Amino acid sequence: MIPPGLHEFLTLDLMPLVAVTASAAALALLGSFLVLRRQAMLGDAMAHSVLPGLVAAFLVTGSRAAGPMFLGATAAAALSGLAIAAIIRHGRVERSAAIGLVYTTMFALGVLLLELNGGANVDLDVDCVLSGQLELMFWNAPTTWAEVLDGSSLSGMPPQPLRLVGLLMASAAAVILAWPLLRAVAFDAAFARSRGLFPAAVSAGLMALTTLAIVLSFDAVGSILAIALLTCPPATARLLTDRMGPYVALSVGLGGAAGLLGYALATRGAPLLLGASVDASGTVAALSGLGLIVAAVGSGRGRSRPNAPGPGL
Amino acid sequence: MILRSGESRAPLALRSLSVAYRGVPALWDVSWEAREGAMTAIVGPNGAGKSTLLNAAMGALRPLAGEAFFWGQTFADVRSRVAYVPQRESVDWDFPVTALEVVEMGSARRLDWLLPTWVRRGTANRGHRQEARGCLEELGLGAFADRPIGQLSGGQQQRVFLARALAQRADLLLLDEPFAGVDSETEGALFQRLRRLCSEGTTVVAVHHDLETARSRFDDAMLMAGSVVATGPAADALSEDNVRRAFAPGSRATVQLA
Amino acid sequence: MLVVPSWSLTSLASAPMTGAATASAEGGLLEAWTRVLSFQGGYNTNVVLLGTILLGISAGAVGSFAMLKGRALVADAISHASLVGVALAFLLHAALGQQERSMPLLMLGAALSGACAVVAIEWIAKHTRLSPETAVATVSSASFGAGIVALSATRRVDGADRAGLDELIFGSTASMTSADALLMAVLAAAALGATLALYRVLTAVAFNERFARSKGLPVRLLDVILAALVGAVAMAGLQAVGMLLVAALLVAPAATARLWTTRVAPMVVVAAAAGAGAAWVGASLSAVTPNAPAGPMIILAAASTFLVSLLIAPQRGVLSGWLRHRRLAATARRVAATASGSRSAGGEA
Repeated sequence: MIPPGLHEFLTLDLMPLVAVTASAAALALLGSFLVLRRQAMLGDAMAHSVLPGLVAAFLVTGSRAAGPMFLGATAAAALSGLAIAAIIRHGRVERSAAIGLVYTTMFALGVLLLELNGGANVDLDVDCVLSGQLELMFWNAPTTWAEVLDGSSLSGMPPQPLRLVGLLMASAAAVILAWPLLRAVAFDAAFARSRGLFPAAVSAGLMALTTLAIVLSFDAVGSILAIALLTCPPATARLLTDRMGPYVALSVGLGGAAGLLGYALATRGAPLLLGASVDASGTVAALSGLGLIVAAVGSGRGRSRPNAPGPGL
Repeated sequence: MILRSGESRAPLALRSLSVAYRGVPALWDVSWEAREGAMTAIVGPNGAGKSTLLNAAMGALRPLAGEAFFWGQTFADVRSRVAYVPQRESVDWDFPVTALEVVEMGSARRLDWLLPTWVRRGTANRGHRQEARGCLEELGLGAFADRPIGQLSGGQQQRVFLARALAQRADLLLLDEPFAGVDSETEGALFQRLRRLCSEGTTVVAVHHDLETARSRFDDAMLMAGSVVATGPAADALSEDNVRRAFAPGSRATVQLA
Repeated sequence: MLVVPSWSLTSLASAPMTGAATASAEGGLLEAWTRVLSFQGGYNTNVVLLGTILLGISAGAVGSFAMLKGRALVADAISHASLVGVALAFLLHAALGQQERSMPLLMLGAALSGACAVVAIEWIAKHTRLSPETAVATVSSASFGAGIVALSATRRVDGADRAGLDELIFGSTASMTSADALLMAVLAAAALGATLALYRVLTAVAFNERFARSKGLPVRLLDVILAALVGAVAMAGLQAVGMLLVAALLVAPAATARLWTTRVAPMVVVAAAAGAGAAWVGASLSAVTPNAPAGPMIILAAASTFLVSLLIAPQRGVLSGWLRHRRLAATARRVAATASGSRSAGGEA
């Protein structure tokens, strides 16, 4: 017999825990390249602007199947990317303003589509956009060890955590395989182009992988909190190391740690402190931000950069 | 080798190259040839289109009209024979990469672009690492190989960039402001190194902003302000008169009229 | 129990803006919309609509200067961070035993946490190696995460009116009372008034900071004032447009105006007009359409204006740029052809 306490953990917590940790680690891995190229806002833009694509795919197919959702999200992300480029090129609006304009518009479109189609949809609603639906990932866990061994209980597993683990593995493999290429393109795109490395294609590939990560993380953390995981762990890691390998590894580690700790804090810590659990994905995001603040205060104290350009907010 | 009929075999030949940004011409009807084995300075006021010229020649910008040939061929055909050093400002010098890793980007060939060194340990990549280290040492940076580039001085950073270009073993160097932020002593040493390359047959084309050294250190010069003002031996092309014409306010207005 | 769609409620004490929607039952959407557009939708509807238009004007004017100073996204950070403040203020209010929703208190909480976000961003950008862009993205998203946590904690509060909180995220004019609208109008008007009063100095600082400093202008103070004005507009727009979208109300009209003119005075005027137009069309359309929240409607109206401008603006438009490029390319090709002709002729001779 599996003890009841463990059984409860397996049923209620294991799947959300795996999902949030894998998604945090994968987002931090892909986000580390965005932060490295000083394009953090682009992650912001992608995470917001996939929404109309997701909603449209959902409305057309009537299900949350990952395939159509990814296609819709990719189309929306590509459209925003093109729109941002066109606005910077023609409108002579500065980068951050162009990005802000496009992603809020796409987000508004997504929210409107959701609300117009009866916002109270059980499967896809505004709350899910904000913070995901971790609590729905329960697993009809085995009650005896024998069931664990014969694998019969595996069929009842929710698909999202496994997909996220797969995504994490695939992203890690892709990053390791193309490591010198990614480094060259991120460091000096003009030089990379002169050597025939197609930096635009490499960036597009990374963006596609990032979009996939955002779509798959939608269930776990929601699209807005995904931004925190795309940016905060890499930014923290950037403050702690000057070597690219350790930077990316640390960023993944920090992301995963935020996922684990945040989930534990929200579901176990909060009830002790406040008497009730709080939103887990929000806690993960806030925790990753807290890590950044600690690292920033530690590394930045007394180190003012007088000639630094003012924040181009 | 496919040669366009009537095309010269100069390392770089531009034929009526015109480029515009947002409907405003940056480069207008530029025809010019670099002399093989010579050091040529591209000189002109800010916004004269010097960097644009290099980028358009390499096909990074689509021209309105005109063509660029490298030894009579297109850039894509001879990529490996050309080394490019972009403008200093185009790079984030706080990037977490070491000097050696930067230079390895120059010596890398095909499969070297895949898999990090800790995976490839002991395989063919040792060759290109050695080559990169050699180039760094040649420019006096052997001791800095494993330092993050952010910890190097401006002059050292430029030397790392030049080492990366050397590591490509190219026949033509396209350098965009290679001496920006370099002290005069280092500048002298770098000029000597480039001079030696030229004597071995390499062609050097550099965007350069200092008229004094452009006259004294380079063989040829190409003076431009949107379009070509003067070309030829550095001292002649950069005569007081020509320079005054190129740097006169409104010198680029001629472009719009053309 | 009779389920009544919220947009058809007319006789509530708080007299929702959607009162005009009853007309849609008889006269169709277009007629109902025209009625609201022409301010015949009833007292409360008119007050909310006018307040929203004033918000649009104010957002256009303040947004112009924010954009010229390259600080367009400060609003994004302020508004994302405001969720923590709103939720904490709500919790505090409930802990004190109050049941009623207090909009001014929520706004105060939002303003405080928004200010903290701005300070954090400035500090990170100044004292660490991280870029300003990274600072904005991290601070706004992480503080929004904290906001979601605080929001989930409010669910444990019994009896309190939570409805208003969720509406602040995406914005809703439907539940706005005339008192809410008045608060919004006063804030927006104050921001607009301050912007106009400081018009000359803000222009000087936006265009040439060094020059402004040499003239003895308090550049640093004006930076803070501009951030405060942006914050005031963001707070004013919290209820009508929602915290996730209010940044766009500052960016879109200003970006639109920039396509049409390069001078400051016309830019501010065009931006204010574009903001007002978007608010007018968006809010009124939302009032007569079931389930269409005002925030997204207003933003989409503003974005459409920008899109059309981007295509057809005379100097900076895509269309005119494309035509110019084609003409130029044709000339360039002619010149190249002449040159190659003379070259081959020279070669033969």
